[in-house]
Amino acid sequence: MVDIIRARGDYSIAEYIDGEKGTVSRELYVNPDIFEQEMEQIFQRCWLFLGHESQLPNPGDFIVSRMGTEEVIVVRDRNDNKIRAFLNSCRHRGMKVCRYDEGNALVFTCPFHAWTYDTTGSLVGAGFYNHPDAYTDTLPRENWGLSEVAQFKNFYGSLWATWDPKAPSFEDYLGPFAESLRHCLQSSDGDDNGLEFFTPFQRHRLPTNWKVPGFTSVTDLTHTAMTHRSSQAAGLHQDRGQGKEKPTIPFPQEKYAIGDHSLGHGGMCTFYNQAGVPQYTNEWFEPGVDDYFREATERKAQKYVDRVMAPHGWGGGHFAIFPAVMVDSWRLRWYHPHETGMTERWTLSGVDKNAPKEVKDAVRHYSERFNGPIGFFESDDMENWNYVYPASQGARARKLDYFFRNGIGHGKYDDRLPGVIVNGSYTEEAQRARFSRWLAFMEAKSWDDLYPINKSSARRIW
Amino acid sequence: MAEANKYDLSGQGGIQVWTNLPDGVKITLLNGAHGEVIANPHDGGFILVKFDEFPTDPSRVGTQEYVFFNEVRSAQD
Repeated sequence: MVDIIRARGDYSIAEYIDGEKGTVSRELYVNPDIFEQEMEQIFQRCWLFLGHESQLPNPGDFIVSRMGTEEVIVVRDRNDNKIRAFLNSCRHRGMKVCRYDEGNALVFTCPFHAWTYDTTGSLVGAGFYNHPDAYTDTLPRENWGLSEVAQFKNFYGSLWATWDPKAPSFEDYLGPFAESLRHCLQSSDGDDNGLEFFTPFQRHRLPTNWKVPGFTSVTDLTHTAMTHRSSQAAGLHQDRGQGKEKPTIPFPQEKYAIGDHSLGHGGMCTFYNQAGVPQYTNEWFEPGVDDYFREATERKAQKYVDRVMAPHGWGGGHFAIFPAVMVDSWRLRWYHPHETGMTERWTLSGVDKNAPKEVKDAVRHYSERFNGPIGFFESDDMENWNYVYPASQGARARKLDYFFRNGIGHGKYDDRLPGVIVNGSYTEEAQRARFSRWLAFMEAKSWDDLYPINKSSARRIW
Repeated sequence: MAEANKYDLSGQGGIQVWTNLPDGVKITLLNGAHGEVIANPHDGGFILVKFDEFPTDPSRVGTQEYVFFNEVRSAQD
């Protein structure tokens, strides 16, 4: 339990969330002490998304990703081909060892004193190491390699890591959402790990707290009618440009907003109520692309003839993995906190790795039109996110609460996703679930206090 | 007049020569060890060398190690 002494006096962290009223104090978004605590309590413990293996196809390939406010080098070893992740900070004096976003390296040489690390993170050299007037016997190199993440997981091509050796396995961390994530990483014809992701990928900074997009937009259907009104009026919301056809063969499904209050995951969810896949409907204006996806859908239908698709988001919708990763079937978006009021958003847009060039080009062009700072859709969202923070941090504003009551008390458990509450698709159930988990992490001394290791500590605060 | 060594590591130009040293070039260290360049990250720091002679420690013959530029006497084809 941490006492935050700011603005409203001596309050414990739990008192910033009112489960009865369904409100959240704005202090959670604007208080730098809370931000620092989040970096320790959440980002040092959770499984965090690093990227996708398709960004590192060759031995020696690397990307520089982020975990919280810190950079990590994610590298495929030259010898054993394994992918590893290390803190991008020289063990000597802390300098950034790698100052490139991506590349291929034999070694990583710190530009300060030439401490040099190979692709397993081992310290293989230091400038003047062998000089008789320098280190002599004071540098046991085997103890001074790069700081490696405690656990690493390649989950159907997606790369995840945690600094906490006591964190549960990645599958336990995902809980019932493991199959959903697996499904979203399949190709259009249903092959596991069937995607590759366009590089360089989109990244941009937002002058806002990481929870503004990371929690609020986990599912937020009520914003679409106003925020995206202009793009809808222009017909741009018809996705690929041709306008969506209606399927002639209905597929039984149900759509909800869902939230797992014990794990923090949730979002938009479609439950499919029979085996198979929905009928493909034309939606691309580039020639040949609809034919490709129609044929892929038919192949997928064969794979799913006796299999029900895992629940996942629909259309432009998504579910989210705590703390700040949003998963669609064609893109992965995640948020990196920089400061209390600065966040960086990365988007990996994917396509079937075996698709022909014209299909990959069409999907990439669509991703560029839709996503990111020049995308028609997300520039609408950024306009909101950019102003939430400055309008919340003033002396008067920060004494107010945010409203998270939409649908409170009307959800119910659903056996199709054990432990998960389902609620109306326009409710804020998923956002409340994230705050439930947020509070658990902020109060827990270690993973021993957190579900799923300690099921007795699972709690509902709303 | 002696032919100029195209891998002259001396002087200011030596930094660039070291940075661009190709694989296969023979290296002689200040301690008399001799080896061949296996891989060069081309950042001016360390180069991976496989030793075929190591008078002060014969057990290191056949090993591959990273060598820093200031440990090297000369480089030649």
